[in-house]
Order: sequence, then C-alpha cells, then structure tokens
Amino acid sequence: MLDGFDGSALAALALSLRVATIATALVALVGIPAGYLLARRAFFGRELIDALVTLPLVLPPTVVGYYLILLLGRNGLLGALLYRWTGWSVMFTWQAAVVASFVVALPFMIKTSRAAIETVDRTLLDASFTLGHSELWTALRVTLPLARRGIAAGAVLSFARAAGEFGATLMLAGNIPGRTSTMPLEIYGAVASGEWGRAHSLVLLFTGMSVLALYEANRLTRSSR
Amino acid sequence: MSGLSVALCAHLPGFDLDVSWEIGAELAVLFGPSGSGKSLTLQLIAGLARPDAGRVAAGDHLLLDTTRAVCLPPQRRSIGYVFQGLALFPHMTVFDNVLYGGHGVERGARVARAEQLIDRFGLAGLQGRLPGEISGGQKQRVAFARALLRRPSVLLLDEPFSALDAPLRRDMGELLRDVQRELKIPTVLVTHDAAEATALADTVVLCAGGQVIRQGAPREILAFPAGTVE
Repeated sequence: MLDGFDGSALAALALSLRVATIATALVALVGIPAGYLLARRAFFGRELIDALVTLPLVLPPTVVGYYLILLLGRNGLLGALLYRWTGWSVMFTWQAAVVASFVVALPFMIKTSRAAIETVDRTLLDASFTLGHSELWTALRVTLPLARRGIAAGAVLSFARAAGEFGATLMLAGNIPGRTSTMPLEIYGAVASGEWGRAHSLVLLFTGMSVLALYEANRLTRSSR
Repeated sequence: MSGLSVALCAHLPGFDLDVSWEIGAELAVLFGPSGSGKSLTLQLIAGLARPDAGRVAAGDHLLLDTTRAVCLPPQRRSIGYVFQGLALFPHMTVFDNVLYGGHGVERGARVARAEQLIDRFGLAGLQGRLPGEISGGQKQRVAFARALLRRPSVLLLDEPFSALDAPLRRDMGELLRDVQRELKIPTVLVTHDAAEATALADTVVLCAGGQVIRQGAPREILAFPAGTVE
C-alpha cells in the first residue's frame, strides 16, 4: 500500500507539518486576541472587520493567492519595500507557504474563539472586576480558561486547514520539489505525472491525518458542554 | 463619617431609576418587589453600569460624581459584591476562588487570610473541591469569603440567599449580621423577603418603581397591615 512512499514524499510530509505548525502558532497568536476583541468590545465597524477576516473562508484560494501576490510580490505593496531593504522576497520560498496557510486558516480561529468567548458568563467577568482585577488579568485567568476548549477546537481546525492549503500556496510559493511542495502539491504532482501508487499512499496518509484532526476537534467541543 | 451615600439617576428603555439615600456603617436592606430597580442600584454603586447622573461616596472616598466627571472603574471602588447567581469561577477550586479575591494583598497574607475565612465560614476540608461539587449553602459561603478577602470598604449583596431553603437562609443571615458587626462597614442587602429584612436590617430603604418610597427602622417601614396586633 505504501509503494512509492519515497524520500520526496517524506520531505513533503515534513514540510507540510512544519508549515502547518508554524502557521497555526501564528494563527493562535493573532486569532485569539482578535476573537476576544470581536467578542468583548463594541466598536464601530466590528461586524465589517469580522466579515473581512472571514473572507478567505469563502473566496477561492487562488483569489486569496492573487491578493497575496499583490501584497507580497517583488513589486507588491509590502514585498517591494521588503525587497529593497533586505534583497529577499518571500515569493517561492517555504515561508510563502506559511503565509498562505496563515491567511486561509485564520478565519477558523477567529470565528471559533469569538463564539467560545461570547458564551462565557458576563457576571463572572463583573465578579473579577469588583475583586480588583484588570481586564487583561480577567481574560487570562477567567475568560480564556473557560473558553479554552472552543479555542483548542479552533486551533485543530486551523491546523487541518493550513495543512491542506493548495491554491494560494501554489500561487505564492510555487511547486518546487523539496522546497515548497507540501503534501497537497505533492499529490497534485503525483497525479499529473501519472504516479498513481504514490498519489494513493499520499492521499491515504493525508485522509488519516484529517480524520484524526476532526475527531479531536469534535471531542474538544463536545466535552466543553 | 464612614457611611455610604448614593444618588443615582438612570434612564433605561421602559424603566426610570431615580433614587437617593444615605446609610452609616450599618446593615441596610433595599426592600421592594422585583423590578423596583434594587439590583440596578447595586450595579451602579459598584461601577458595573453607568448612570446618566449621580453621585456615590463611601465615607470620604468619592466613587462617582457625574457633575465632576468622576467615575471610578469597579476595580478601584473597593466594594465587596456578592452576586445573585454567586458568580463563582467554575474552573477554580474553593480555595482558589477565595484567594482570587485577594488582589493587592501580599501573597503570604492573602493565603493566611483565605485559610482564616475558610475556617470561619465552615468550609474546612472543601478547599480542593470545585464549585460544582459543593452544596448551595457552601457556595454561598465561598462567594461571601471571596468578597471579604480584600477587606472592602463597602459590602453589597444582591439577593444572595434566594436559592436557599428557610433554615439555611436564617443561618446565612446570622452569619452576615455577625460579619457586618465585626467589620463595621456599610452593607447593603437586596431582598424582597419581608421576614429577612425585619430580622437583619438596621435600616430599611423601601423601593418601588425605581423610586425610594421611605427609609427608616424596619419596624417603621415594614409596618403590619392595619388591624393586626404585633
């Protein structure tokens, strides 16, 4: 069953895990505070911002990839500055795969953490405030611990989405064997060149990983009730 | 003077609150039917909601004065607040819940005080339990201990005994009375139970429809209907 499971397949798996892990860490770093602010602060344009960060969820990944090229390409808004200062461009590097995965996975984290934080009883926060604790301390000791299962589920979903990212990654990072070809790109390459056995084992491996991730996400959200 | 003076005006959709009263370092009962603005008054005193106009002072400590743009956040009001639903942190043990009330108290003193309050309130042996694993009366005592750990200068209790049965209510009422006598801080208990008000209050503030109707000793305020003999 695992015929054709060679060095390049292992490299693709390792790259996918690295990209998805780093992307998920960044997603948590940005997504949890963003979910918190959307849940707890009423400010002008709140729902607009929510819609904007959710956009990558509904846009085709190639469209997301296109925007990222406009932003980060060598002539892009940020990319041009970066290239002028450092002589380095993120295009066609494994870091570009991280950026693509980050953008498409972020909505999962923001959506689930916002929902989880909104379910925390407002009176508990009031109690913490009357006991002299700041909002930050209250968030760290009360709100986030009580929302932790929803947040963890969001992280698992983000990881799965990041690991499965194809379209935006292809546009931003290309498909360079050993450098930017993650599992989904490797599978595409295997099919395109008619290596069915290889494609088969890669697909099975990836499916197994995803089932495990979903099972874990479900278990986390269920036991939170 | 270490009392509590309150003047508050708040307009909500379908409800207007306009109250003014003053108490000393005594146990006052805000008495009235539900929907008379008692809970809202406590929230406004504690800074959990903002009035349209008003002034609240605990002794010399000005907590709120809308004419001088003073409105301290709840963290800086030094008010012990016992919520109607108690608001114990479900993920913290009894001990950690009580300890959480010790903001600004040096660590060693905080632990010592927490242990002392746990003993005093008959919670010894329950330190490691979660709020979901103890009885209603015990939860009550935890919420009470948590609110007292910082030695607040005012104590507010929003119908904390409403979920308890009669004998437990009496016990908790006596405990509250003892604690108030000891600490000598202005204490406001919200209730709509006349017997409780009569048994506990030094002074009663009678509320209805967002207004204060009368204030005075329980015997004067909670008069028996005409024709009955006391």
